Amino acid sequence: MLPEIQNHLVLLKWLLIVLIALVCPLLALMLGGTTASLASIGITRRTGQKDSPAWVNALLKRANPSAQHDTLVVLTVIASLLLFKIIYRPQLFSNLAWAGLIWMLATGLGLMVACRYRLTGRGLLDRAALAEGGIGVALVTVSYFALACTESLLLTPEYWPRMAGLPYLFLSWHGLARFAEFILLTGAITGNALLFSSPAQRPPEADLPPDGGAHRIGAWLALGSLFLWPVVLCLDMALIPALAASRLLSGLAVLSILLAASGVVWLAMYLQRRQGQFTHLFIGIVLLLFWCWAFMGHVAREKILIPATLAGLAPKPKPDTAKPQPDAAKPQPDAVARGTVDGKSLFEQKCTVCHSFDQRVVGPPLNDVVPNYSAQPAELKSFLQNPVKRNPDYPAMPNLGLTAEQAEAIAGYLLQQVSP
Amino acid sequence: MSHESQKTSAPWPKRLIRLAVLGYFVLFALLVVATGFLRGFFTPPASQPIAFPHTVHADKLGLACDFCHSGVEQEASAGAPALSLCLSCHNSIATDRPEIKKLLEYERRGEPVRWERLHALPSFIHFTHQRHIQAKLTCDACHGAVEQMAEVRRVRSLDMGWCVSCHREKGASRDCATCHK
Ligand code: HEC
Ligand code: HEC
Ligand code: HEC
Ligand code: HEC
Ligand code: HEC
Ligand code: HEC
Repeated sequence: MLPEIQNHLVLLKWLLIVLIALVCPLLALMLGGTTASLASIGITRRTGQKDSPAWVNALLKRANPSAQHDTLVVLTVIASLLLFKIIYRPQLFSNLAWAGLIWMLATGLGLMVACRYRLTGRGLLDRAALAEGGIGVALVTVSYFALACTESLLLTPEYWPRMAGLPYLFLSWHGLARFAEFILLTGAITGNALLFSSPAQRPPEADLPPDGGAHRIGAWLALGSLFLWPVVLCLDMALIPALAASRLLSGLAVLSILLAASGVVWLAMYLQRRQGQFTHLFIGIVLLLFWCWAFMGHVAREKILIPATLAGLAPKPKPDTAKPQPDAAKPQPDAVARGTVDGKSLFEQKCTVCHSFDQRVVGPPLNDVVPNYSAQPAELKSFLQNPVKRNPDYPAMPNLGLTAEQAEAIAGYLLQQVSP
Repeated sequence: MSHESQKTSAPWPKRLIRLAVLGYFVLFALLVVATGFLRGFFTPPASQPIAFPHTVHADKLGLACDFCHSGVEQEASAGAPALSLCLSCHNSIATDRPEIKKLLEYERRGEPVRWERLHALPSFIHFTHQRHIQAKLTCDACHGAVEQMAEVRRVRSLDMGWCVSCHREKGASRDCATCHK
């Protein structure tokens, strides 16, 4: 990992969570809007009607309002995926898999956008546009499923190193629950769009306009999604790795249930036509639910993916055969990184806690003991690498895991210091 | 949801429905909290009697892990170091710090330090460090980078799936009797 990334990790993580919070509702709306429109077009075609109901166009336009908007969504999706890989130890995901995922998601989104422009432009009897949209929806759904599973595999890092070799470990039950949550959120936001995309907000007393039942479908979609939310959330909480869970996470889970409940209450009131005017309230609730959900993912990741965990998981360089004890004796990374081994600084770093030259600390004063070795420096070097019990007045000196080079440098420094 | 039926429905079934909906959400909220309790999300990690920093000893001082966890290569369990080992240094190092004063207090009372165990397998499992260290696994493969942790924490689930997925990868035995007594 580049040091600049390390330094700004917290900032990058916040950037990621903001991006996710921004892009998920938009992504969900695109996915849900396109799916609902395609389904309704399919139905109208089957019943032999020529024109799609006006709300289909309205919904499609709401799901992806303009070319700039669509480009922005696709770019944000790509940016957050790249950021995800940068933050969470790139070497643990295979580049190819990640690139494939990004490609799939971007292509799917592109197809959905193309389908929208064809449908709203040319009318509906365009089979190619329908196929385009269908493939787009499928691609986005599949890649989101892969993403949800990857996200929860991040939370169970024991599977990481094995992910590349064993694709079937890609599926995780917790990932499935997260995916279901996303689908429910998609349902809620699409339901919301359906409710308010039907042409001309009706006056409260009027009867249902001939909107092909879009209004009713929207209400039921949103209601059903919100009702299922707590069930899937409970599943999530039961499946999430215990090391990733925390009080904050449970608190957010409860909060999201309360949000879902208030959404249901609002919908019920709206359907009884008592408060049709506060339409922004409902979309607000759904958005809050989205953010709550995105933040839950962040909280879980933060709890488990501490740097020490990540450092332990990073693939290691091939074991150095010259090293005497490959298991216990790990060379200090900073000393190795410096390339040249400097006896003086190594001594100050590792030995001064126990030794001084002229007095007893934990070990004997070096001015007394080192001269014994002036005739045989190799002996000193091997003692440093592998200390043995010498003087019964002192405790044993621990093995400090020095490499041959480090021991050589320190021995040289010591002999030079004590020589008159 | 037909609007006619809503208009004509009597208030009491409505109220009942409202109560049921409310109850439904409250029930699940409670269920989430209960799951948290059952799975121990709310219990804070046990704090050690002495705040022993691995960062200082294993990273800065560069002490080898088995200097303190001496059982790790020969015996089944890695073990925590004896008080006398700490005192071989701390009789003279940093004796003015509160944590070291606590350490010296244990020595004075002649009482061993009771470290909280973070890693504990159920008693029906047969696990030895010895076999794993001999197989050239490093400590951080299972414990994370302990030398970077000011306070040790568990980084792996210690679930059966964890053991088995590594055994599969490394070609070690996956016979039930290998691990189950
Ligand atoms: C944990 C404290 C500790 C550290 C750290 C330590 N030593 Fe020692 N050292 C001792 C003790 C205790 C002895 C006495 C061992 C004995 O006599 O059995 C000793 C003995 C020695 C001796 C004398 C060996 C002999 O033949 O009597 C030398 C030389 C020495 N240390 C060098 C070093 C150097 C160089 C370093 C840094 C790389 C170092 N020590 C780090 C505690 C330490
Ligand atoms: C100076 C002595 C010392 C050294 C060196 C040392 N440890 Fe420890 N270790 C301890 C003590 C004391 C404890 C118990 C207190 C605690 O958990 O913080 C402990 C606890 C642990 C635990 C938690 C055990 C449990 O289940 O409670 C692990 C894992 C561990 N050490 C791994 C390591 C590794 C890996 C290294 C080498 C990088 C290492 N230790 C180096 C003294 C040491
Ligand atoms: C090799 C010698 C050595 C051994 C063995 C050793 N320590 Fe230390 N310990 C040190 C040094 C050096 C420091 C750093 C003191 C400083 O910050 O100046 C230290 C720091 C500490 C501190 C932090 C003090 C503070 O508040 O800054 C604690 C606590 C501690 N040791 C506990 C222990 C315990 C418990 C053991 C036994 C498991 C132990 N040490 C074994 C050398 C040792
Ligand atoms: C194969 C994975 C693995 C490796 C490698 C490993 N450990 Fe462990 N360690 C465990 C497990 C599992 C436990 C829990 C053991 C139990 O409860 O009986 C544990 C427990 C411990 C404990 C505390 C409990 C005890 O047994 O006393 C310490 C300390 C410890 N390990 C240190 C180390 C050190 C030091 C190394 C490196 C030399 C190491 N471990 C390497 C898996 C591993
Ligand atoms: C990081 C990889 C890894 C993990 C995690 C791991 N093991 Fe192992 N284990 C090995 C390897 C490699 C061997 C083969 C050692 C050999 O062949 O001598 C082994 C051997 C064993 C053996 C001895 C097998 C025999 O043939 O006698 C037992 C028992 C064992 N492991 C139990 C466990 C348990 C229990 C756990 C989970 C708590 C666990 N292991 C986790 C890698 C691992
Ligand atoms: C590599 C070691 C290993 C192997 C092989 C292994 N297990 Fe396990 N098993 C474990 C560990 C460790 C646990 C404890 C997990 C925990 O703490 O929840 C466990 C727990 C279990 C449990 C749950 C017990 C309980 O009371 O919670 C069952 C059942 C079980 N194992 C069955 C099997 C069967 C059947 C096999 C053979 C196909 C098998 N195991 C092979 C390591 C192993």
